[in-house]
Amino acid sequence: MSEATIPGSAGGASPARRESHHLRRAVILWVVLSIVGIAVWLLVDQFVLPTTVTDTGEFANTTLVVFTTLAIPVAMFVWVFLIYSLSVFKTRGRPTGDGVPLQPGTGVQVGWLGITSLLCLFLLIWGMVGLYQETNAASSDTLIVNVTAQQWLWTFEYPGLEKPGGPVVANQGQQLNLPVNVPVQFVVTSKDVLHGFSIQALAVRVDANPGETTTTQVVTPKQIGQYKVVCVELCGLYHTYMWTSVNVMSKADFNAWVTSLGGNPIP
Amino acid sequence: MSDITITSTEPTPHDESGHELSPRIKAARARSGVLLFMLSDFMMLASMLAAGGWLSALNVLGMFKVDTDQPAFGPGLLAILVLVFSGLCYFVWQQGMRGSGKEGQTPFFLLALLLIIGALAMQIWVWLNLGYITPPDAFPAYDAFQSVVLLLTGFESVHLLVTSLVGILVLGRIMNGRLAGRDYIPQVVGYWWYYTVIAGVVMWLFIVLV
Amino acid sequence: MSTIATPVKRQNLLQLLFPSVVSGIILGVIGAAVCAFIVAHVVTPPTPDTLDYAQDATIVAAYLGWTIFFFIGIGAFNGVWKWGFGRRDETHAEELQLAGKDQGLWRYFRYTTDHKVVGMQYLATVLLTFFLGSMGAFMIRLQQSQPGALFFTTSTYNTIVGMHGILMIISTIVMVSGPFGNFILPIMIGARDMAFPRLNALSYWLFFSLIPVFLSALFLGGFPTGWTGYAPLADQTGPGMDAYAFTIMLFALSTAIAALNIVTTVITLRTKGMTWGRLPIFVWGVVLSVLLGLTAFPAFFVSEIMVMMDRVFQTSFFISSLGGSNWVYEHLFWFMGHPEVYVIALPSLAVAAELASVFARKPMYGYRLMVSGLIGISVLSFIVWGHHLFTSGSTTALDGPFMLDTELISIPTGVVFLVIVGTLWRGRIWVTVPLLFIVGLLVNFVIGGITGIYLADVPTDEILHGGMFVTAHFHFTLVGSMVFGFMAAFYYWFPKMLGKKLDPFLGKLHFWLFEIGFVGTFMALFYAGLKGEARWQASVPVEFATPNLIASLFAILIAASVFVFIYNVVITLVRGERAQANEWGAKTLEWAVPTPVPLENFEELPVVTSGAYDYGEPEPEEAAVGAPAQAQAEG
Repeated sequence: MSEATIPGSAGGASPARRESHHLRRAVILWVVLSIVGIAVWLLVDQFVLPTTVTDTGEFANTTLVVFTTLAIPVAMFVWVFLIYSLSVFKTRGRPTGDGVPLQPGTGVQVGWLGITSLLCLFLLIWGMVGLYQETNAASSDTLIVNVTAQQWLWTFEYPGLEKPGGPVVANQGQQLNLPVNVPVQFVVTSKDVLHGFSIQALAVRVDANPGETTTTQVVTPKQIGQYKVVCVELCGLYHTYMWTSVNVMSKADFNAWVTSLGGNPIP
Repeated sequence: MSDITITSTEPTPHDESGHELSPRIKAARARSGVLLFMLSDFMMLASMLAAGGWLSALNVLGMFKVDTDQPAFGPGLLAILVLVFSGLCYFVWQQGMRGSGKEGQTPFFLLALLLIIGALAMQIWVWLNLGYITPPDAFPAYDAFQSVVLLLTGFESVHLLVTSLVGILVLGRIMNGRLAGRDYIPQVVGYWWYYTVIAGVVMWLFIVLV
Repeated sequence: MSTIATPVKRQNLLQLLFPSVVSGIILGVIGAAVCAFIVAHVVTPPTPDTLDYAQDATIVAAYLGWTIFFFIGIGAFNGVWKWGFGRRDETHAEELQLAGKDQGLWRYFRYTTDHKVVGMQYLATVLLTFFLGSMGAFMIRLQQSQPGALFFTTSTYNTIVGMHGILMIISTIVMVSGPFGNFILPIMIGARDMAFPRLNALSYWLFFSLIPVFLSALFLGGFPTGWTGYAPLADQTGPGMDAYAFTIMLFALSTAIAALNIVTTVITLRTKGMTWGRLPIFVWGVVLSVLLGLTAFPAFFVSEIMVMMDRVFQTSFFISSLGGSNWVYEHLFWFMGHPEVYVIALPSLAVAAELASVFARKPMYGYRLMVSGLIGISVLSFIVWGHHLFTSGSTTALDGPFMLDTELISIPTGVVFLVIVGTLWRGRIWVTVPLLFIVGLLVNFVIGGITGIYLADVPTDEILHGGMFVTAHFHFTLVGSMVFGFMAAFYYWFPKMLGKKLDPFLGKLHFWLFEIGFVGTFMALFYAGLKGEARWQASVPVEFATPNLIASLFAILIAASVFVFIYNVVITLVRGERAQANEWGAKTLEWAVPTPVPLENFEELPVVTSGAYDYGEPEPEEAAVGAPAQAQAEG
């Protein structure tokens, strides 16, 4: 039995009542699925989020959790109304009449634009706050590490711990050790082409450009362990092998290591 | 069975026999085509100038430019003057074409065309005489400023070449008498002509000032 | 009504072959060889001193020779010559000749001006480039299914990644505007052809001519930069890079010409009554898309000129030791690169809106809203490119503004979602294969769009840039959304363009295999990206082996879907059932003309009195000639 195609003409329940009936069902479905979705996300997120050992990384992870929590109702809105339409309003074969000629009233337009703008504003404020937190200058006790990228390896130097006769390097400069709970900042450059300096666990990432130096934010590793430095910009043949380990160790161990290379330990 | 609302009686105003486009439409499409092409070209020019300007500002490793890089002022200025004069001749010709399309104005067009070809020749001469030496085994050879100059002079040469070719084609039309009744052709070609002149001046100023 | 004054003879084989693509290729190859020879032996003979760039100079000369002589051979310059030096304008009969009248299938192999021929040429070529790109994709998934570069060497793998990327980018930019923008759009606005028919043929053949140039990279050692062609790696690397750079230049030229043709056509050749407010949304989407391309692609063109100059003329645009900077390349590239993804997106989103209305038998839920949404996306797309460069070190002061603008794009995008979902809501929905692909587009675009927000936020970009999360995001948008839109358009317009109906069962199988395979593959890669896997891994690190294996297994479903699709197309062309002239009961003008569409489309140009989406509306007072009253009819 076909539905009335013109508002106001008779054909079973009035279109207005039918409309609210469908709308109500869809909205209930939306609310329920959103709640379920958020619950599932909050249970599962720990398995999916990146492993991190810095506050910066924690903030980035929190951002991912919050954004996803907000995104779930948005996604469910589209999916529910879409799948509901396709299930409930579908015809058997070629339709014999037209659908209800709906147009978005001022309320819908203003409401939709308003809500999406508010969401956008929230994202923006959150992002600006995060951005502001990042751009804190290095304090006097920040450990500076000079990173030089080249095809296809990383070399590291500790300029602040210089001994007479040259910077502190170990293993031809290819070993990166860091003391736990000490803020560190990386100053990065390249000898040849563009490379991408990245330590996921510390939440630092910045490109290595030839002829320029770039700096990462200041981060403080809070857990001892072994993590990875990888290259994230395609830099030629052995890009995939351009990775190395970074060892976060206790301050005592770090100082012992520095001293063994003839450098000055950090206080 | 079609349920599309079509009434198919009167021919549309811009369509007499139903197959030939009206002059008004032909003029509109010529205008639109050339202006859009100019927009695309302008974006190329803007990209080159932005890149050159930023390289200058970055001055990576302090190696952007040495003083001896600056091309000689005289020849470049002369080439630009020839170009501007060509634009003026074109303008005079175009004014004369309005409404009457008299052949008497053709010498101005010829002069405009010859000057454009002259500008092209001068531009190539300037390019060959920039004095930038390529050491045989140095890679790279030119510093960033020299690179920008080479790019802009090359781009200018391409502009002048295109304008010359367009001018020759228009000359063909004049000789065959196929310009009458098509006032939009001088107008639309004029857009491109003046654009070439202005773009040339802008590029020259950029090289002089950066 | 015949307007032929002089009868035109049917052409013999020689006249068909010359000029045609055959003569074009022959002359092009000769031209390439001659120019290469001249440069190699006369201009820059390869001495030990010049070896560095002599090779590049020779290769570029070969490409230039190929291009110029290919177009001489195919007869592209004949029209230019005639414009200037011809004694008279072309007669109508001569124009029909150029449009391929009475040439049978040969017209597809010549410099034919009929927009329908150009549309079919684009369709065939895009399907080819898609296929080649897909083969690249499956090779990538094969390599990444196991740690250790087991199947391809690292060098080969890097080239495969780059070729897959460029082939897909080229295909997706052109996939809707090329075939359907050419074939369908002029009919939709009530025109007989495009504004510049000869330029139309030119834009297609430029697209064609870049394919041999691009594939020659395989014989020149490939290229290691990936699809972005970043300098200074691009400066430093072997001759395959010249193929890349020249391909881009030809492509930029092709799309610029196509763009000015399409925009001029819509401005000047709309039939009477086809006001801007009645323009089908598909036309809006294509026009905005090509306008974006026209203004954005020149920056890429310039960046490739600079790469070529660095390689051939020893300049140092990107060599830091002499004042060059890779940031210049990156910004030029991404100034193009971001509008480019909207060049890809807008036509598919417009197709989605178009089809939603047809298959729900409902007016578009906010036509003006949709147009504003598309315009809003277009305008904003120009000022967001910095979000690709948050970690480059070059935009620190501008990170905030770029983040703001990027997040703002979610607002017009949201409007687009509202309109399409609202159009389907309470419709009489006919679940056809095109509609299934539209639904897939919307489902996938939600994920693609939301993950874009994560990348737009600077703090999260710090842990995601350059990783597989980015790869999964842009595949969800470009493939899961926009390629699905192309598939919808393909199934939708196939009956009009080829006169047959694609098998719906195979179509649905294609859809489900593609969707399930696609979602599985890229959700696994999202996970890998979150956990820290970087992009462009020829040898997948051991810690990411599991998600990569899962992704590769799901990719088998995608491969299966491709073959189902090919099978469906072939079997339909060979023995499919004939389609009706208005297969779907739609209201846009292309469905009012017969199938196959005659040369010049309309006997008399139509006069339009209403929009294309007035389903369910009461019939206007003047009854249409030959059109039945329909709005009041019950089922």
